[in-house]
Amino acid sequence: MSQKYPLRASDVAYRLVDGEAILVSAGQGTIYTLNSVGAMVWNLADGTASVNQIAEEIGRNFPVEPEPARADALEFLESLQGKGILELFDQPQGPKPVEGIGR
Amino acid sequence: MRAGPRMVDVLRIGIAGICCELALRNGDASFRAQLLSRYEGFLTEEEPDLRIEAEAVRGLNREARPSTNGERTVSIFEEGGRYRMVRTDNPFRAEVDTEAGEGRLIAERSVYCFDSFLRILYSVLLARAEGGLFHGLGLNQAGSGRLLLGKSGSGKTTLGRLAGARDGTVLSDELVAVRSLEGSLTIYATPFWGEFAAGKNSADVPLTDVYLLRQDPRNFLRPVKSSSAVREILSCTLFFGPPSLTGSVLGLCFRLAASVSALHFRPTDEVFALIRKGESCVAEVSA
Repeated sequence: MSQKYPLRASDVAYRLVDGEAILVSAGQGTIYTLNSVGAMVWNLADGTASVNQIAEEIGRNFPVEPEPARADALEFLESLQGKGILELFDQPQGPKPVEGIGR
Repeated sequence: MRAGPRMVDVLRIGIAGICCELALRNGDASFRAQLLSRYEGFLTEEEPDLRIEAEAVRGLNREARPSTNGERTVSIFEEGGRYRMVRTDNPFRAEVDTEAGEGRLIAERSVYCFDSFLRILYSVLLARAEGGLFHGLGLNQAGSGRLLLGKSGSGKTTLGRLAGARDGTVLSDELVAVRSLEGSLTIYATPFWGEFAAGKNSADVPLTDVYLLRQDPRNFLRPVKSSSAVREILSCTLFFGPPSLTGSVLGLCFRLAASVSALHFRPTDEVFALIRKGESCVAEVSA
C-alpha cells in the first residue's frame, strides 16, 4: 500500500493547549479544535512523517492497536484535507514555516 | 479638518496609538460633516502612520453582490506588507502599503461603509502591532482596565449603560482595541461603538482582567478551561486575515485567555463590585 505524507497548510495558525490543538484559518474564517489524538496527528503532519509513522506514534502514546490507528489516522487526515487545511502527498515534503508556533 | 487648494479634505483619526489620515478627494460638505461627527473624539493632529487617498462615490451599492448566510463578504490579500481589501456587502475597495505608509480607498458615499473599512483596516494594523480588535465592553475602573467579551446579545451594551450611569468609564461598548506594548497589555477606546454613544473619546488603560459574559440570575465568577477560553475569545475577535497575521492574533488570544474568568451576571449594579473585587471564586455568589 502506497504511503502518504501529510503536510499542514501554511496559512493555518495553531497552538497546543490542555492537550488539544486550536487551529485558525483566517482565510476560511474557521476555528477547529482537535482532541489530544488529533493534536498529535496534526503536530506530526510536517510533511516528513508518513501516515504509518504517525500511527506508530499514536500507538506508543494511546491504547490503540496498530491497524485501527493507521486507518483512523488516514481517515482523519483525509477529512482535514477535505477541509482544505492539510495536503496528503505521495512523497516526503520538506518542512515549511508554519504560523502559530512560538507566536 | 483642513481643506487644501485642491479641495482635498484631510481627516486624521487616531485609534490605539495608530494614526490614519484620510484625504477625501471628492467629499461634499454634508459628508464631511458626517465624518467629523462620527469620529469626533478620535481626531488628531499627530503625524500619520498611514496616508490614504479616499473617494466617496455613489453607486457602488448597486454593484453590491448579495451573499448567503455564512458566505464571506470580506477578502484581504497580502503581498509583502501591501494589502488589498475588498468588501462586497457594504462595498469598498482599498489598497494599503504599510511599508510606504500610503493607500487608496474607494467606498460608497456612506459613513457606514467608511466605518466598515476603518474597522477592517485597524484589525490588520493592530495585528501587525501585536494587537487586535475584540467584540466587547471596555471599562476603566479607577485605572484598572476590564475587558468584557461577548458578541451581539451577550449583554455588553446593557452593562455599558449601567457602567456609564455609575462611576465606571466606558471605553467602548462594541469594539475594544488591545495592544501589547513593552510586554504589557493595554485596552483602548475606539469610535466603533454600539448603542451607547458615550465613551466617544480616545482613552486607554492597562488591562488587568478579562471576562467572558454569561447572562445568569446570579452574579458570580467562574474559572474557564484554557482551550475553551481561547476558542471563545477567538470568536469575539474581529479578524478577516491575511493568513500571515493569524499567528499574531492567535498568540494575543492565548495571552488574554491567561487572565480570563466567566462572568455570570444579571444587569444590576452589584456586578461591578464583583468585577472590582477581581476574584475568581466559584463560591462567591451574590443574589
